[in-house]
Amino acid sequence: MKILKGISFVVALTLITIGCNAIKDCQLVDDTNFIVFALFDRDTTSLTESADFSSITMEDLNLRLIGFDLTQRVDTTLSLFALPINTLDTVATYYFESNLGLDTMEIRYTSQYYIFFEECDPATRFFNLEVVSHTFDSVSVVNDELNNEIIRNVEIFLD
Amino acid sequence: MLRYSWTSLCLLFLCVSHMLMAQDADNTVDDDDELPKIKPSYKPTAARFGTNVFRFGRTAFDRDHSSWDVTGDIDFHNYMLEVAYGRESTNLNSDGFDYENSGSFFRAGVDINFIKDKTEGNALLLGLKYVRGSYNETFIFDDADTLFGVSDSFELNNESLQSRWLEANVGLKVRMWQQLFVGFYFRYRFNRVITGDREFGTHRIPGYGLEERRNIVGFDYYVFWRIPFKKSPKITRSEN
Repeated sequence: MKILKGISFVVALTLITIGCNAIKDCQLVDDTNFIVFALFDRDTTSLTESADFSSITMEDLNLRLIGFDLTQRVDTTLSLFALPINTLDTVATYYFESNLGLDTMEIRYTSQYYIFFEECDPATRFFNLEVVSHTFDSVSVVNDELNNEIIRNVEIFLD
Repeated sequence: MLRYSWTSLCLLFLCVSHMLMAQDADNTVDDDDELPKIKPSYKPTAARFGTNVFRFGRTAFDRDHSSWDVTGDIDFHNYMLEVAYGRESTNLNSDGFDYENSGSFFRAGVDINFIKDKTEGNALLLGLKYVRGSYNETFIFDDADTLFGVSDSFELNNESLQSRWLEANVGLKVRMWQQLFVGFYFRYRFNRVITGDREFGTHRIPGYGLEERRNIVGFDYYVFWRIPFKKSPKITRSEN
């Protein structure tokens, strides 16, 4: 029985001594408030060489999004780009202006606040991305969650 | 899906325990074939009541956290039925947010005791438990979107969330002095389910730990007092 008593004490002392220190880096959060769009050629179903948008704007945001350095993931050919959402809202409406006219897209999303680490500010995850309406030929949501690991969320097919 | 996992685990647990007990019985017969087979008695011999000293330690030294749990067990031959009840509360006040959590949990399950000599009441245990809990959370903070130039204050509540999970555990309970026992459990918590309407992502689950961990290994250290149901006969050695 002395062995059992010894084991009991050793286990307790070991676990008290060893602290479990998790890595607490607030930068590790993967959530983002940007939707990644990909423009595809409808005929070839490959990424377009270039898109002729002269501007992309948002409702409630007096800012031209093209030319604004949103993220480093913005492709120079503009076949792949990220647009922001209002983190305090649940709907984003984008206006795509080109020499062919004006296209619009309304996207709805769900947000949920959570505690990433107790030492960090509250984090928000955005999910349930849904295209409510649009004027493009074809649009598809390929990933409905906004996350830095996700390559693209919405695919737009152009003629 | 969870129901099938639970059923499979129970069956596996019963099979393993039965195999181990059968092996134990076979060995006893092989040692001395002439001894008559004694039918094991499932009449309880003692009950044990205890509390988790780790929780009291944390309550004493961590001002954001308070918790306690009490547990009791009763033996049926090599099996032990264990039940426990506990409460936990957390109150975090940081620069970024305030978070409050309070709730309770109830645990019940069976352990197998692998120590053959029951006179001392020591136990080396392998078991399976089912845990249920309920809790409330409040999350208060300010948020701003600098790009859109908007900000707001939030007070979000997760009310009456229900949690449940399974625990596979190994443990040891050792007599230290008279009927005073100390013991520990390593608990592997899995198959966690949380139900209820949530206004924000749940953070801490009383009795479980942080929500972000899908499966978790917990450690509990207990102090127990054992109450024998009848006085053990004194064993005297006869001098030849």
